[in-house]
Amino acid sequence: MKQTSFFKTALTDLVEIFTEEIKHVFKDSGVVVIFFVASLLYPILYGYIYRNEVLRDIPVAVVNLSNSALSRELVRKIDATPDLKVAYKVRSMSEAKVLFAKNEVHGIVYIPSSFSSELSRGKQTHVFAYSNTATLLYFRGVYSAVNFVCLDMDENIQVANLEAKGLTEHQAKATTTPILRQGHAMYNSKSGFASFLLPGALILMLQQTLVIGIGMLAGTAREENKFHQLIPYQRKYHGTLRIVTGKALAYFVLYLFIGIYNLVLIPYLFQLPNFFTIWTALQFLVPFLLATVFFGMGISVFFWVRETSLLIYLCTSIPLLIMAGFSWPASNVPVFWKMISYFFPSTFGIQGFLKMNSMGASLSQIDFECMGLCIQAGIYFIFTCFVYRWQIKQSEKKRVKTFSTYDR
Amino acid sequence: MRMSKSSGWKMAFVREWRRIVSRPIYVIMTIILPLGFLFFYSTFLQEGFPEQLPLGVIDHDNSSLSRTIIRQIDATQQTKVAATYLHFSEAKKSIQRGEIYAFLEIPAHLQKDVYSGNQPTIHYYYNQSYFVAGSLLLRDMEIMLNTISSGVNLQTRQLKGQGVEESMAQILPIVPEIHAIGNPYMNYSVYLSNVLLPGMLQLMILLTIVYCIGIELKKSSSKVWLRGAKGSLFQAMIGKLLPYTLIFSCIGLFYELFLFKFMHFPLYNSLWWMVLDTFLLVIGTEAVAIVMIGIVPVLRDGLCFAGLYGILAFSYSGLVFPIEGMPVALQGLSYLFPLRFFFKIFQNVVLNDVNPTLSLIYYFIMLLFLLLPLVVWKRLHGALVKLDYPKK
Repeated sequence: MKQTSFFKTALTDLVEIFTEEIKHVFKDSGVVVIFFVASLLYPILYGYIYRNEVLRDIPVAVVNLSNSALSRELVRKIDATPDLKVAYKVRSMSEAKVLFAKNEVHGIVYIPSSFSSELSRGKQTHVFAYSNTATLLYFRGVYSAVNFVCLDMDENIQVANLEAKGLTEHQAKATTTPILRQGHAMYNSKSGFASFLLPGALILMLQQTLVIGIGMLAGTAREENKFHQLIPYQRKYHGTLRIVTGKALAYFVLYLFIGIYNLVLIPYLFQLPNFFTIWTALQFLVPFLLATVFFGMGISVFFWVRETSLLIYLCTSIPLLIMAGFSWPASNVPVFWKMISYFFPSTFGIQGFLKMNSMGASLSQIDFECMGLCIQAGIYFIFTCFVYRWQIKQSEKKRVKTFSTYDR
Repeated sequence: MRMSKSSGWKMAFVREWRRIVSRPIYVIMTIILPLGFLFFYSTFLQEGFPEQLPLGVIDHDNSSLSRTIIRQIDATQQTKVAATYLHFSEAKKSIQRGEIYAFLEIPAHLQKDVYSGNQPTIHYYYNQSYFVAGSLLLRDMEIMLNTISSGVNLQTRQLKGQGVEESMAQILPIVPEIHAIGNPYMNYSVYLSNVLLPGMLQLMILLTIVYCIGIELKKSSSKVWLRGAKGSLFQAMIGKLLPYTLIFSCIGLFYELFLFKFMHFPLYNSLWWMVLDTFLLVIGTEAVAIVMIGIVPVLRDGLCFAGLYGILAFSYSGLVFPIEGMPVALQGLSYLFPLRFFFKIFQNVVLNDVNPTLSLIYYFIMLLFLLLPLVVWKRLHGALVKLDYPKK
């Protein structure tokens, strides 16, 4: 009999704490901005910024000192590549450099005057291309286009020479290229930049907005409660477990919707890789959100002022993105930072989401990430209970102290 | 009397120092985090360039030629053969698990086909979900497979009695030589650290400045602040921002010295051009921060605003994806970010071998950011005096 009533009160308390927390969220305009405006608008903004997935026709300057039929053919072929466009033909390197400095061109192709004379004498000649690595995509474009055009011309020249020596076309080609090669881009097959960057950014946005919001709510609670404790002193705030689960449930439910929006709708709208269905997304979101919610709640006791969480978390966003091992390859993340990165749900979240949503991996294929998130959820849950318990004790202590002072 | 006449901004200056040392959040934002991020980037990017990227091989041929190919690929600095697979599906699963970033499939009868002139094809697959690793491996595999194919070609020619030099002139008449200006070793850290660190600095400046002004509104202490400066918002602002300007400028100077003097990153011009660039970034960002809190004179909204802007600045610096590649309607926004101009100056002064005077226009634009607070000056002054905005 007693058992039932205990569970009953626990359950009603839980529901009450849950609804109260939801109300807190909607009453607090700051949290509303973070939870809903930021997490709903930011993905759209980023989606638009990176909407042009690939760079086409990067302007380059050509310095053609050879000015022969072959060199003109080279220039024409460079212009014809999808990556590059010959925007300027100049007569000296210094002119080209000025164009480069003014951002008029993002690469320079230099053909020396000895180009065709060396070729006609059967000697090797060089074509030079310059770009800077400051914008990786420009360098990548210049590199692959110039490389492709040169090798293509090499092949043609060689085949022609061999045919002139009396080989058949087939023989000439087989001698020139004994082994053919063919590359295939997997997943993100158009090599799109948004398709690469956004999945990671989306997970990070989910985590950061969630933990900032939780931190703000905790900061507000502290500022407003009588004793500046995280948890007010009331009967229903006695059971640590029901407070923690009640609050966590509130954040969890809200973010299930935001999570589906971020991880299913946004990739669909912006035509990013989207292997996710709502069902698989949920399978992934449950461990990820649980880990993030408890992480946020556990850390939130350190925020005395409501704005502090915003300051600290925002600053960590970019390092967290880099640490997660999807821009800088995970295989090359230094061990020390890899260890640090395992403290954050975003690390496993980004990897798991990329593998499932961008590459179509099944849940069982991301067992490592899943395990990581589950362990985090467990540890941060215990940690949260522990610090909440401590806060409740503190709250009680202060209350007793105050009342005993009144008594005297 | 004489003292109080001259000390309008000094009162605010001294008051701000006291505030900075009285609360840990200021020390965290101005000293601990900036130095922490320096530690992070310098140790994280120590390698400079991702090497030994794991790739897989499916060898259907298992001949001496195919084994030579695998050995050659493994021997390069850029890649390492992490695993061999029997089937395509196994390799694909491994890609999905993120264990390898690419693999190549050597067809059956490769060796036989090569020597009978049948031109077999080696297919290679690279994962573009990991853009950096995928792109690097694409390039490496292109180079390696080309080298291997040319090697066979060379071998055939040598058997026919051609000399090496003569053969190479036939095989590769035009040699493409592609160089990265100012960063010949392709050290990623050079440009990542050089822009990400100042990017972090501008984010912390934005948040700190919005916080230190917004907290006066929240705690209704702005009147005390203004009174100390004889009611002049200009004096009060100078006095308040001076401590931060000093601290952040020192941090910025330390960053530049660390990168160029300690890490010995390549630099084409005098370091002072970059020091000036950093200083303008500091004060330009402070000006933007005043605008942020001026538009929304509520601490938490101002912080949200500043945070979103500060994070967006990384995209609009043009570092990872060029502005020219963005939709035209969104390109214009790039003019609102001092970090954008910081990056342009960095490219010209550090990487490109050009006269720094070509960048003077960018320095000038960064100075113009100092005029921005005028737009919100009256509004901010009103808010500070009347305190008529919500405080929570």
